[in-house]
Amino acid sequence: MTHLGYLLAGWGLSSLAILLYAFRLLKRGAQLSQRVPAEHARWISSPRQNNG
Amino acid sequence: MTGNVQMPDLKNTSSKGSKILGVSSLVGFAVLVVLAFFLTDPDIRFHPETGEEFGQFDAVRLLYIHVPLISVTYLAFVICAIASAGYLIRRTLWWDSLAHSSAEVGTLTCALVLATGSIWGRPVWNTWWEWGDVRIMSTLILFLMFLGYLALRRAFESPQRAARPAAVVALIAVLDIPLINRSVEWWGNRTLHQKSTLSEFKIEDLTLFTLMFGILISLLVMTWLILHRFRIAWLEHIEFEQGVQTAIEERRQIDTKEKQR
Amino acid sequence: MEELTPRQDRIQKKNSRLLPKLAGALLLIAVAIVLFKTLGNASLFFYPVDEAVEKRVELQDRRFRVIGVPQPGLVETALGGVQVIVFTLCEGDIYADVAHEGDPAELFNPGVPVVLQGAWIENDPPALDKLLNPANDGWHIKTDSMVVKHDNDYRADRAELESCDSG
Repeated sequence: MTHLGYLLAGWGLSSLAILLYAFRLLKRGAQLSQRVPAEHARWISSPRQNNG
Repeated sequence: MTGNVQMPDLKNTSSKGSKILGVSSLVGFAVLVVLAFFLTDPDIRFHPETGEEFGQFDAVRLLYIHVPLISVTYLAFVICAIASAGYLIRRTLWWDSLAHSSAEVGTLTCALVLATGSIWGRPVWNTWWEWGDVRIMSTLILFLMFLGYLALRRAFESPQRAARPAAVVALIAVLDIPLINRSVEWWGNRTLHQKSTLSEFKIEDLTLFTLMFGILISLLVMTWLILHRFRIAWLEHIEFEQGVQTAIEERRQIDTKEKQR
Repeated sequence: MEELTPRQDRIQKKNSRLLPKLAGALLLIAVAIVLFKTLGNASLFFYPVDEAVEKRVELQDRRFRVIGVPQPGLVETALGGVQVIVFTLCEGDIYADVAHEGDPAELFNPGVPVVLQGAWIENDPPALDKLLNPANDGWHIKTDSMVVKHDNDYRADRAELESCDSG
């Protein structure tokens, strides 16, 4: 395969940058979730019913 | 039937939908790598007179990531502009969080567009960078403007105070996109970038499929990133508001104590 | 007295907001530099071969960029101890001979348009007699920078090379 170094640099850099950013988002999301009450998270769409 | 609604504990910003999206993106990316590196052919043509091989050879495989990144960059910034306009009209946290999230994701992909373009340009054009190329320059300006947008958002302590000026910046910056997109037509023979391949249908078969598949996968990835970044922006705002409320309460208590003295 | 003393956390918060403001100012400067660079390079926009030939006297020994299609028949030779590649560039039916110093671009090939940077020289290029279809007009462009303008065709069997009218 020609230009393998360029291919690895381009694909590697892009994948790595997006993966690192995704992990950073997950980490920051987890940190914030500990500090903010769950009722503010609108994406939890199935709250448990407590009939007690 | 009446009952108390008890929310489950909030552990992170994932939801069932975002998990499905995340797994689909990862699987799709793996398929894209196989298509781009192993199933598609390198760009090799034969000179009709000399019989020599010419073309981009395997460097063409960089386009399967470079072009999808451009597509999602445009889309992320357009979403940011629409959300910014939405914020200026409605003034709600939802629009502002969407604008902020899509701007951040778009800035990341825009940086990668410039990087992958530069890496592709070295073997194909014989240069890492071309200051005189209108498309490269207008893309760099777009990147810098959105970097400025993000800096502006951080310059204000209160997210609410940052929202309005940031929305105005986003609406100005997005005007650069038509210039980037049309530059190869408007400047034609005066710029280094080639004209649009897709609009002239100069691509077909597996090469076209791989490019389209790449765009689809990068859309999934972009959606996942914006979704999570949106949820973070939302929680950050709630946390900030809670901090402000706590500070007001504390101040009131101090004032009450001082008055009692 | 205590009330007038600035609180440490406020000072720190103010300082932490200074950095993005500085970054914003630096970005504005960066945009200005980019615009300046681009506009500065506007004078180096590409002349197609026919325009470069037309403005030959006007350009004198000034450096400029020229875009054209290299013709088959590349000649490698030496000029003043420096390795050069000599070929003919065309646009339509206008031709110009070129002597390019240094390594050509990796994907340089006859029929694939190139952007060259250099200046006009009022004499024949070296090895003129070996060129297949030279301009042979007593001038040549001496260049030292070459970039390839790749086409937008990705159909391997249908891609066509650029040719000159009488080439």
